[in-house]
Amino acid sequence: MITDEMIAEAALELNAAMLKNLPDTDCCSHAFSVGFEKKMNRLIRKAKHPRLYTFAQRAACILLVLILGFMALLAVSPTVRAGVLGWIKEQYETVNSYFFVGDPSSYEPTAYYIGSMPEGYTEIISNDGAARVARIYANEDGNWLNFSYTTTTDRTMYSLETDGYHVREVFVQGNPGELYLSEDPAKNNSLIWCDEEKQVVFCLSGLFSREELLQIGESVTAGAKK
Amino acid sequence: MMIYLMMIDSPQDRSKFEKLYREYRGLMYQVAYEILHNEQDAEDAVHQAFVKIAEHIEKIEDAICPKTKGYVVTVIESKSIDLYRYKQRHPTEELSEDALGITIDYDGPNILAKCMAKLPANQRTVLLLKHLHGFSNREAGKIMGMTEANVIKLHQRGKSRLCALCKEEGLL
Repeated sequence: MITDEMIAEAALELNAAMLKNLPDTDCCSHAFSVGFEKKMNRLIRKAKHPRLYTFAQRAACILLVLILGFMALLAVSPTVRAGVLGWIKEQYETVNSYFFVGDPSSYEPTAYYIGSMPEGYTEIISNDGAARVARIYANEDGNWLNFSYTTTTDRTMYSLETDGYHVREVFVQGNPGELYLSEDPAKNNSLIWCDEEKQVVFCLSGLFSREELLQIGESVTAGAKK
Repeated sequence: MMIYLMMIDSPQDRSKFEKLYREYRGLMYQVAYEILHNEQDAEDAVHQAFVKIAEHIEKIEDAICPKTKGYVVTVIESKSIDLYRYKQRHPTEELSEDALGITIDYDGPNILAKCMAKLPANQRTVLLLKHLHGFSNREAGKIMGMTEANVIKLHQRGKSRLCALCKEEGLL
């Protein structure tokens, strides 16, 4: 009859024999791939805050269910729609999401253009989508200016990364907005603002300073392309 | 709430995993490579092993000690064998059957330990996880990627095989 105690004792000896057969950890070096290091860095971050990550996962699930429920309610209930008109900002970990809900009965689709285009920039891409118009301008150095705005009052959304950015509250043409200033000078800065009267959310991004982005934002006008 | 949760995470647990990773990743890679003979597969096995270790980090008392070293080798061996079997179902290259599991040369006086060294790797793993490292059937199943019921069956088969080997050695 082999008892559990006997197995435990044998397991201890077997473990010691196994370790004796293995090389010292100092002798085992290997240059791991970049992909492996990235995966492991993510895992180490999770292991450092296990409860926090579990909580964040649960919170994300709950938030998703609430948003979906809220969206469904908006779709079927005119009363709810009337009560929540405007733009709503949701913060989640390293992303800010902006939802906009407008009143379709008073919305007039309008085209918008940048009135004061930075020198050397010309339009290279224009996309008039169902919910959003996007225009991309580029200069001779290959730098881009992205300009987009919403064209619907029905649950439109923008998501902006916050990791590595300083977010500042600003006003553009008298409307509330937020400026995303990157810590890395090689990355784009962004400006997002909402004109609730016209029921449009605008977004600009490019390698521009705070002042330049605000100046471009102030120049956005309706109707006439310059 | 978030600040509170960050506070109750043990700072020891936070650094333990990183310390363990820095100490054993090279060894784990070597064990995995001995079984899989492929760099990419060996790295995948090491990553999967660390995922399992992270899930049970509270079970490890001291990151740098012989018991922990044995534990991480047991987990990487199990994960490498899993990957080896998976590759056999989806073969992309030839893998030798001889490569399955690590070889343990036990030359001590304990006959039971000598017999345990002869067990198939998965049976040896389940015995080590349960009897040396103190894992429950459920926990061992999570590490080995099998159900609790299968762990119980594997454990029973391991014990039966151990009894048979002991009889051959004249212990029973």
